[in-house]
Amino acid sequence: MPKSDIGQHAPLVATAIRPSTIFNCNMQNPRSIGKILRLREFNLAKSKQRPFDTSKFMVAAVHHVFRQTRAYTNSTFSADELLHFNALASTWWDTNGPSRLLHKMNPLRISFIFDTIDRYSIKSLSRESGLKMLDVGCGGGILTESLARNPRVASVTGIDMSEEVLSVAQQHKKQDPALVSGGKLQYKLCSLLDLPIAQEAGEGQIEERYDGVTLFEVLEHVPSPSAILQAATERVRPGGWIFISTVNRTAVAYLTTILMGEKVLNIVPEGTHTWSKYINERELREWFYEQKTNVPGSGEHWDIVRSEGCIYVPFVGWKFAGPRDVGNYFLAARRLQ
Amino acid sequence: MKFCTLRATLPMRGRMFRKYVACRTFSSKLTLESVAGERGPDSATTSQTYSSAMSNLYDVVIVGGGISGLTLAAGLKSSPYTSNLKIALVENMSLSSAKNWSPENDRYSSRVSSITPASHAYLSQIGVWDHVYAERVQPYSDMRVWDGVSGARIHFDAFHLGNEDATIAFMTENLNLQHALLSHLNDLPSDPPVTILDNAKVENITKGQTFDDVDLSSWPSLKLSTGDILMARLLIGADGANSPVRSFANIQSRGWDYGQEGVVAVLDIEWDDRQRIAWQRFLPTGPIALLPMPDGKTSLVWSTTPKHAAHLKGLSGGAFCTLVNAAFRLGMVDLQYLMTRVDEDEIKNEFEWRDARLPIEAEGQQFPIRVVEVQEGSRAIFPLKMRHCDTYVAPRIALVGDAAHTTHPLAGQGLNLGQGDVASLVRVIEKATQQGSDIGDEIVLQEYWAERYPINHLMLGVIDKLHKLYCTDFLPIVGIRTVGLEVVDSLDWVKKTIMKQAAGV
Repeated sequence: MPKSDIGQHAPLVATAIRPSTIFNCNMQNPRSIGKILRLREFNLAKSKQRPFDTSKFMVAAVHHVFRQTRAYTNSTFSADELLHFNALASTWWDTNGPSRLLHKMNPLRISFIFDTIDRYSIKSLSRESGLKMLDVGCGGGILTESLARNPRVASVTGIDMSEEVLSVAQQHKKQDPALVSGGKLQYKLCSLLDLPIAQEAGEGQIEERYDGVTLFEVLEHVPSPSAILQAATERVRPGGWIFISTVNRTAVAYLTTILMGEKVLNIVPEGTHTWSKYINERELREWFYEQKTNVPGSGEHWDIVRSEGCIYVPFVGWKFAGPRDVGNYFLAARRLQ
Repeated sequence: MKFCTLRATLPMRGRMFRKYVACRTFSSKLTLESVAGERGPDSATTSQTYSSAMSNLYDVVIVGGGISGLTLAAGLKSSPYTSNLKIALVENMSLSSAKNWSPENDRYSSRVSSITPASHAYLSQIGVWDHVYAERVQPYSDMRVWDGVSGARIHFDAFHLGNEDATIAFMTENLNLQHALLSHLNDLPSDPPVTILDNAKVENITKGQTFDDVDLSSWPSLKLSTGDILMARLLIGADGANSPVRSFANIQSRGWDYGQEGVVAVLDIEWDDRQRIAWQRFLPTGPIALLPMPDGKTSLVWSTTPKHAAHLKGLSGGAFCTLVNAAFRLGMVDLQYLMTRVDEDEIKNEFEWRDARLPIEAEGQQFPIRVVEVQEGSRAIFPLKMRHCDTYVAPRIALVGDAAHTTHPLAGQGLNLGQGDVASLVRVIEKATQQGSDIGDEIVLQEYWAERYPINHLMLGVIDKLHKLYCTDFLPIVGIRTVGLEVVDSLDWVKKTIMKQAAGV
């Protein structure tokens, strides 16, 4: 099918294709493009054969009600998300403000990172201290600062696309003399895709890839999650880790994170989450399995060692509890080669 | 509706009670007139890098060298995660008397406290109890409490109730504890050691400075009378009921004065029956308690009206002892009559012929052994009140001990609630340093407040209601409380629960 035809059928894409393949909208990877083309062809052919399909119409109607039928273009989403987070910049560090839940999640993230490293590191391959970390989508630097204060971490780089939020992070870093004089923490305003990486370390060269890349609450805000994931995997050294947290695309997740969280209880700022961009745990696993596990000729081998569901208990905080395929979840993947 | 925190949902108390006092207490003793509004950065905003002020930066500054403050310093230094924090302790009096204290033969300080098993366990855990002079500590496992008006009794016998360690509490002098804490801090091999600044009054607390490269405007900055300036990542108020740190944090303290004063003294008993029983009798003017000390001594805590308290302090030693004996034995009418007498011999005679009617075998069983002598200079009076703060934390500030809550001494819980606060705060700071959080972050400190507030609130409430219940001789209430007390006395499992709650374990 010629490439131009895909754009023509774009409006149908959202409704006629199974939601799980929206995620695979990575136009650079030949394997997923083949899969998506075959599926589109199949569905278009079927829709022409069948008479009016009530169930498909209902799906479309439901999606429309929840405002999911936006055109899937890079620029629109980025602009929306950036606008949203820029508006939140000034209240990012107000622990009694709109970002309170984010602050409450920080202990869970830190314990997830270091518990996983302690439990699943391969002694010959992984480092347990002197870690070089990259925090993608660092925001105001809540996690980045906690990592910088950890004695096991040698350096942390936090990157974000929003200039206002990053300047808030820089300002807040100045408030802690330990961070200023420690020299472990730096921020960069760029996308992960633009972050330079060193070539393969040769003899006597310093390994510039990271021991850990964190993608906490990032994948459900970017236009192309698989591009981000691919870029992240390229920047991890063997024995290193990728830590991800995001939300499953389920009805329960909509009820809790969007309906209750944003609209009813107002404990999450309105417009933070978009249900169609949520990623199921299964999809993430499949991506790793197809792209990164035992793929001949790729030179890398990853496995997913840990995946936990987590829930927010009001007045208490975040806890690891609940099934991993319903609401929020954390996932840790380890690079073996 | 915004986010829900416990703080936002706290209802206003005090509406229901007569003497409602909402006091933002400013200490009249310390010169803190400037504290109230000063929130902006220091006037000396010279352009300087913070490296010149680096030696004045501390991770934790504890204001108050009392038992709570010292225990907090010891707790932080004894924990492996927090032992490398830079800690300063500021005390406006001299600590050298406590540091160099050694037990005086046959003389005890009247400032004594009852240490519950929970506090004792924590002090042992951090290694402080090893430095306590054991011969000056008196554990007791038997407590007898009765109603002065109706005579209803309740008997707490730890041994027969089958409690594991069979100790209700440990009586010890405050100086003994302070000395133990100071020598423990001295002996700890931690680096850096705790900087103890005694004889240093806190003259002023303001917000910190903004330097070229570091913004410390959220850090509290203390100016001491010695001229030192300290800047704290976390400022702890362990400075007693009129806490200047609390005023700086703009934290409201609510409560009321009881209109009573506590008379304390150290007394000798007639003969040492080695029973070690704690006695408490609830009189309508306030409870009187005799607590066992080593070497045949007892400690008296008598809460009564200010008029009576002044009268008792002014009496001669012999008259005072007779009145203490009378307060445990005689009826209210007789006691009231005796309180009006001043002549020592007259009081003695009046008491003797009334006392003759009481059976001899009651001595040491239903009434404490007679006291015969009061230690010279040990009589002291202090006012009684109840205070509880709305919150114990503010950004970069936490309150522990009496700064956060004050209570009536009738249950011996005041110091122990403070010890519980300290243990909880140390745990919270430990967790924060492990997670890499800023220990002065309000969201970190709120965990401490959320853990301690309900416990303290409950205990303060129960003590207050007990006090109000027993401070009257109105017949129907006397009847109800008599029946209630006798029922509880017959139910071992209830008594066990009460003892467990009071022990704090």
